[in-house]
Amino acid sequence: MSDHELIRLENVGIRFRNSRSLLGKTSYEVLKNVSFNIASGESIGILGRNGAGKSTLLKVIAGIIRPDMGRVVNNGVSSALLNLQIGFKQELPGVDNIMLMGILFGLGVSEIREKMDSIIQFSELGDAVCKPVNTYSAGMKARLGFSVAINMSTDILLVDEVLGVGDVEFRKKSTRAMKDMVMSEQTVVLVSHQAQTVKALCERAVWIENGRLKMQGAADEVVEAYESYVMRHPPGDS
Amino acid sequence: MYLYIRENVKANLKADISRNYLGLAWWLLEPVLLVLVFYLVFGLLFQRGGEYFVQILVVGIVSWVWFASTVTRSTTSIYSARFLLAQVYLPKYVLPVTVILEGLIRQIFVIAVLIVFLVLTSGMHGTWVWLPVIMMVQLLLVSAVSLWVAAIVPIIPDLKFAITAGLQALMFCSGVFFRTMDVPEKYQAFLFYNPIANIIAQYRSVLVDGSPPDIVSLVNITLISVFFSVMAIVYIKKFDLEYPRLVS
Repeated sequence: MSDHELIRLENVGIRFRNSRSLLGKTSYEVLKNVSFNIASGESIGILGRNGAGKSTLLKVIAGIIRPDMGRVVNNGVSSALLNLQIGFKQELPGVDNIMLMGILFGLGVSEIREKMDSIIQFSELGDAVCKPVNTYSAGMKARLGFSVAINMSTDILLVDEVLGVGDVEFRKKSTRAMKDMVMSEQTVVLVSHQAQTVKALCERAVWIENGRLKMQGAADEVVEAYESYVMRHPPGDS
Repeated sequence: MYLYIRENVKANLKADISRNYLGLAWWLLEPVLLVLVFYLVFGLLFQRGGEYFVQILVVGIVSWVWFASTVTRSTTSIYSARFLLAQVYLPKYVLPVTVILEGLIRQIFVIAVLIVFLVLTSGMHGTWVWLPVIMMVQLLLVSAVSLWVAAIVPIIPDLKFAITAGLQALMFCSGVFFRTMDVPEKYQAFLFYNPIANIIAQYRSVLVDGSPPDIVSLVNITLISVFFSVMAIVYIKKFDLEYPRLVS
């Protein structure tokens, strides 16, 4: 495992404008002064409660949005973000969506064709993969999304709360696949509000509370501190 | 990105054809139904027809539908990709460009059918060689307007309604179902400065009358459209990383 730095966040802050009307421009800070780095091959868990800014942080790392304050130093790495609102084109069949996603994640057409079978197989969609995505159930969409993302072999895989998708069987399978990812040289950043998932899968953890970095370090230490903090400060207390 | 645009256009057109029972026929049905309505109202009820009224109507509507449908689809092109934009980086100009190219391909199909219709009903003219040139100019005009609405609507979502109403109004000012020359002279200049009315008039003179187009107008529209298209792309690029936040 190398310590080669892939991405560094320096005092990152994100301010969202609350209302889009002409009157009153209120804004609130989703992230403030967040700094940490991601080294190649490591697996980082991002902990925090609902609304702490975890998903926004992933988007910043993925280069999808630009921070209002601070900066993100990306040493030329590609990343794929996997979340529950998968960006499929609803009217297109699964196979076309796999192709389009693959291109966006930087693969060539022939490369995607090579991976197509294993993606379809992993998703367990069978013949349904040739039907438009808007005919799929939520579970089927999630399965397809997960299968695409783990097969993209981008430098960093960013995972946003998706390990609980699908039926029990697929949940086991996806957790296992994620474990394999973490064990391999793949760099993974995993967002979860379930501390135990982070503890089981990650070496390092970053804890975000109200948009600020509360703690970072070895996963078990951070998880322990997080859990006792949550116990003492139940939601709605902050 | 070229690869993404190509595959996306291909997949969308394929889905479009296979989705509906009538498939390809839908691309024709929209202009045909409009022609029918205007023919009933103006040709039969008001008796405003005149010679070659059907041909004039068909040419006007075919080019109007291209313009209006591409602009309408472009208004939501960035918004409807919001889940995708939350997942992976994608240069945003790709989204309206995809819509514009899809529109062009449909239009080529529709124009082919229009040509067959004209051959059967009014005969050919040597001036038809100008058709690709006029289509090219219209493509640039369609691009300029589509790119701008795609760029602005995510920032000011309310504009979507204004654009729908604006298109409706523009249709009545563009000579879709009448000829510019049939309008009282003092209003003709007004129509002349409306680029889409101008282009429709050019199509008619080339396709129906067999007279050459007004080159000066075509050059002017080309220059203005190219200028605004480039400006729109610069604008979209400037807000490239803002759009995902605006539409999410």
